[in-house]
Formats: sequence, C-alpha cells, structure tokens
Amino acid sequence: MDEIISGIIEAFHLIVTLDPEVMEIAQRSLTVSMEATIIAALIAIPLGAIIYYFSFRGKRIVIGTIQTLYALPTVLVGLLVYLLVSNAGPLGMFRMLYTTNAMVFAQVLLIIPIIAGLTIAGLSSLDKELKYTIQSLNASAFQAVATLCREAKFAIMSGVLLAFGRAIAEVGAVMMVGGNIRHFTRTLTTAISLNTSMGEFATSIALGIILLSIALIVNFGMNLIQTRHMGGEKDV
Amino acid sequence: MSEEQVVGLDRITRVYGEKRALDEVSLSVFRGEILAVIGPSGAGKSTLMRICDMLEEPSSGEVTLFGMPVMKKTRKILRERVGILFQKTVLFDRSVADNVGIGLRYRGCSRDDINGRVAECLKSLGMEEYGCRSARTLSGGEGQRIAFARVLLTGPDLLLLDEPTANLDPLATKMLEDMIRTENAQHNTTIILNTHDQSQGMRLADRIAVLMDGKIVQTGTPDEVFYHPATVAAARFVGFQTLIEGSVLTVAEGCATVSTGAGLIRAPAGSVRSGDAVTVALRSEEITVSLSGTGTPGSGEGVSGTVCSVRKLGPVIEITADCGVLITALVPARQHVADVFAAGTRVHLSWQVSQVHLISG
Repeated sequence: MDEIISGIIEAFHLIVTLDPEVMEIAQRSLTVSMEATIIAALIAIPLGAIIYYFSFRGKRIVIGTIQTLYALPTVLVGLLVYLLVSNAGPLGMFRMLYTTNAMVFAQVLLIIPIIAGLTIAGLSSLDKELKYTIQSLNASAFQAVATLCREAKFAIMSGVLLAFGRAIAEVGAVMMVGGNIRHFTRTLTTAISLNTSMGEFATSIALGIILLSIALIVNFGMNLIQTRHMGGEKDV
Repeated sequence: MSEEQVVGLDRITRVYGEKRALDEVSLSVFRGEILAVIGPSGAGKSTLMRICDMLEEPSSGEVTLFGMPVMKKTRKILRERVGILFQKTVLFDRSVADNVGIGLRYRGCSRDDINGRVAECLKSLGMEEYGCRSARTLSGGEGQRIAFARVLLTGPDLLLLDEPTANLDPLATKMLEDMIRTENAQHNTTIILNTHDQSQGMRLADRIAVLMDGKIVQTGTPDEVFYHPATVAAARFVGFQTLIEGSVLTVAEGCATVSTGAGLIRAPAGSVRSGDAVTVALRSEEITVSLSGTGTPGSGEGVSGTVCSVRKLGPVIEITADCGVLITALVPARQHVADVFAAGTRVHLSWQVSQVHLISG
C-alpha cells in the first residue's frame, strides 16, 4: 500500500515538474494516435457513407462484418502489420518496422471499422425523409453523401473521438510493430507495461494518470458533442 | 387542366415481405390537375408517392411521367420536373436561405443566381428577415413553408405532397393550402396530394382517388366520392356513419324500395335491380332528429327509434338511435339539446330520399 501511495505522490511530482521523458512519451502517444485517427477518418467516413447510401447485394453482411471488427483483437492487427512491414513482407521496402509509421498503420487498421461503422449508424439514425428529400432535389451521389454526412456530423464526430480513445489506449499492436524503443517508439501504454514489469510504479502511475486524463477529455468532448446534438434536435 | 397525361400508373404493385402495400394500382393524372389521394393510415398512400417520385421501384407494373417510362436512364431527367414535400418537415441544419436554395445548388446554379432567387422567394413568403436564421429555430408551420418554398424554387411541373399539413395547426394549414392553390393556378402545376383530411380533399382537389388496403377503390370528383362512395369501406372512410344492409324489393320510376332492419327505406335506384343485396348509406349530418309525436319535418321519409347514446362533439351533438338498426345523426349543439334528446327518448329520424345512397353488394 505504501508503495502505491508513494508511487502516486511521485507520479504527481513527475507530472507537475513536466518530466521530460514522461512528456516525450505522452506527446508521442498523442501524435501517433491523432495521425492514425485523421487518416482512418479520411478513409472510413466516405467508406461508411458510401456503404450507407448505395444499395447493393450483401450490404447487410458488409455492415455486420464491420460491426464485428469493432472488437478486432489488437494483437491480430499487430501480427498482420508486422507481417506486412517486416523486411520479408510486401511493404518491407519501406522499412517501417519499429517506427512510429508502423504504429500509425496498425492503429489505422484497428479503428477504421469503428469510424466506418459509427458513420453508418449515424447516417442511419437520420430521418429517411431527409435522404428522400436530397434525392428528390436531384442531388448527385457525391452531393447527397456530402449533405448527409454534414447532417450527421455530431454522430460521426462522436465516432471519431471514440476511435481516438481506442487508438490511444491500445497496447498490443503498437508493442509488436513499434518495439517499445526508448525515445523512439515508446508510447504511454507500452511504457506503462514496461515500467510495471520493472517495478517502476511511480512512472507507470504518472503515465496512467495522463492516459486517464486524455480518456476523460475525449469522453467529455463526446458528451459535449452529444449534448449539443440533442439540443439541436429540440423543437423550437 | 388538359388531357395531357403527367402521371401514368399501370398495374403498380409494391410488396414488402408478405405485405402488399400497393396492389395493381392504375391511375392517370393530367396536366394542371389537383388529385387528392385519400385513405386511412397504412393504405399505401406514401408508398404511392415514393413510387411517383422514383424514390422506390414498384415490385411490378409500369410508371410513366410526362409520357416517358421511368427507368434508370430517364430518372435524372424526370427528377428535374418533380418535387415532393413530406408530412415530416425536412430542414437541413443550416440557414433558412441555404435551405431554400439547396435544390438550385444541386442543379449547379451560380451563387448570385441562387441568392437572388432565394431572396425573392423569401420576400414573396413575407419571410425575408428569416434568411440568416438557423432553420432549426423555425416553428412547424414556418418550417413546412420553407420546405415547400425549397421545392417550388426548383420549378417542378409535378408536385407530390405527402400529407403536408398533417402536423400543422389550422392557421399554418391554411397558409400552406393557399400556397398550393397559388402554385397550381399560376403555373398550372400538376399536384398529387395525399391526405387523410377529407375536407382538405374537398377544398383543394379537382379529383379524388380513394386508396384502401393498397387498392384504388374509387376515383371521381369530390362530390361523387363524398356523396356516392363505391364501397362500404370507402363510405365509412368519407364519413357515412349509418350503413344498413338490405335487399331491394322494387324499383319503380328511378326509386328503389329497400327492405332493411329499420323497415322500408326508399332511395334513388341508380343501377340496382329488384332482389339485389345493397347497403343503404346515410350521412349523419343529413338526418333530422325530432321528438316522436311532434310531427315529421319536411321530407316525410324516416323511421322512429329510441336514443341510445348522445355524444358532444363541440359544435354538434352525435345522437345514435336504435331503430331496429343503429342510425346516427348529427344535430347542432344548441342549448339543452343534449337534455332534450337524452338516452331513452323516443325520436323520429328523417331525411330526403335523394340523400340516401345505395351501395351494391
């Protein structure tokens, strides 16, 4: 118990004094996960919107598969990316293994289903008359999809934030493809894992508090967006 | 109104799972005409609208718009000439001006053109100061007028209105009805109007189609539909509360005498013959109620019975009397009339022979 209490006290000391190594790890985590979220959003939002808008055979199976992939095991993504970017893999020439690029790649794969699925869910929650109105006003497919995404922006943004939360809290894949190299690929989650195994509880707790704070900020942001969304739905 | 066919539906069927929302519907709508489609909820009215606007494809049958068959390759061209307004007000989460102009934007009009036409449109609605406001701040009536203006600004030749006033208060309803009339009168726009408000159909339509259980059971002028319904279900829907089964005893000089549970009832014969099974239909507001023994007013046609229920319906009172069968009449809610015709009172119900309608079968 004393160890935990002293760990917490030291953790606050590390945070308050802006310990360089702790800050570096936190910054890297944020950068990697933000990059991954932006890239995934750019791919997954249009993908989700296209899947929602167009009718095609097997649409339900596609949506069901995307939803199943919400729970995609991170180590499986790590293994897949490892095989792809290792020297013997098809992307080996880019020499991405044990770089932050490989970590971004893994996180992108991990969260694309979440953003795509929640985009589809967000668009599906719009009134069907909205889609009919856009179609009847003779919008092109691109105009229709863009308008619908704009109408569902709060739901889609919630999905993006949720995906960011999943990316930054992920440990398995980034450990496998990033290698947890100090000053290079070490992130909050991999550092916590390593420091705990070495008995460095204070650093682990400090990093844990930072990770938890980020999660809280993301959650607060989601709530804010949802509240605003609900407010916008109110009849005036 | 001309004989140029704008909408042609040929044996349209739409099936959802095991439910037939539309069942072999055939209908023609002509240029400049206002056709009201009336029917109860779930009759298939909205499905019919979506098929006319090419938002849904029929399971079978053929749709032609402006003489062109609806196909994948003609859809885009035809959509330029069709506009639809739904019961639920659809507004985009942007300014009122952007909402009104969005259809023009989809059509690739220039920003200056859109701004000018939107400003003009809002001015004609008396809503010019609303342009910069968020559309979400509008009331139900204002929102529906803006949604309607958005459709009108695209200059449709065919307007599809799917119960557009169902959620509006009487004042907002009147304003929207005025807009519908004006659009039809000024631009000779063909309009199909879905409504379950029969009086709205009477007010606006040149012709009415009655849709029940996915089938068109009758089309005709408002008078034909409201006073000479083709089926018992249609009669019930358009407000005939008294429907008495009987059989025709004699037909003479255009007048049929029908044997019913309430006794002999005379009616214009129409096409019925002696021996036919018919339903005698009477509109409640055309039946006069008087106390038995105080003399039969006017017509001389009627039956006696005992009041079994009295219901106050605002400006009128609904009196149902047992005359062998139940007959319902509406009387003006004058002072104390509910006490005069209280339950158990013997009354005489009378009507004009010409007001009785016979439905075959």
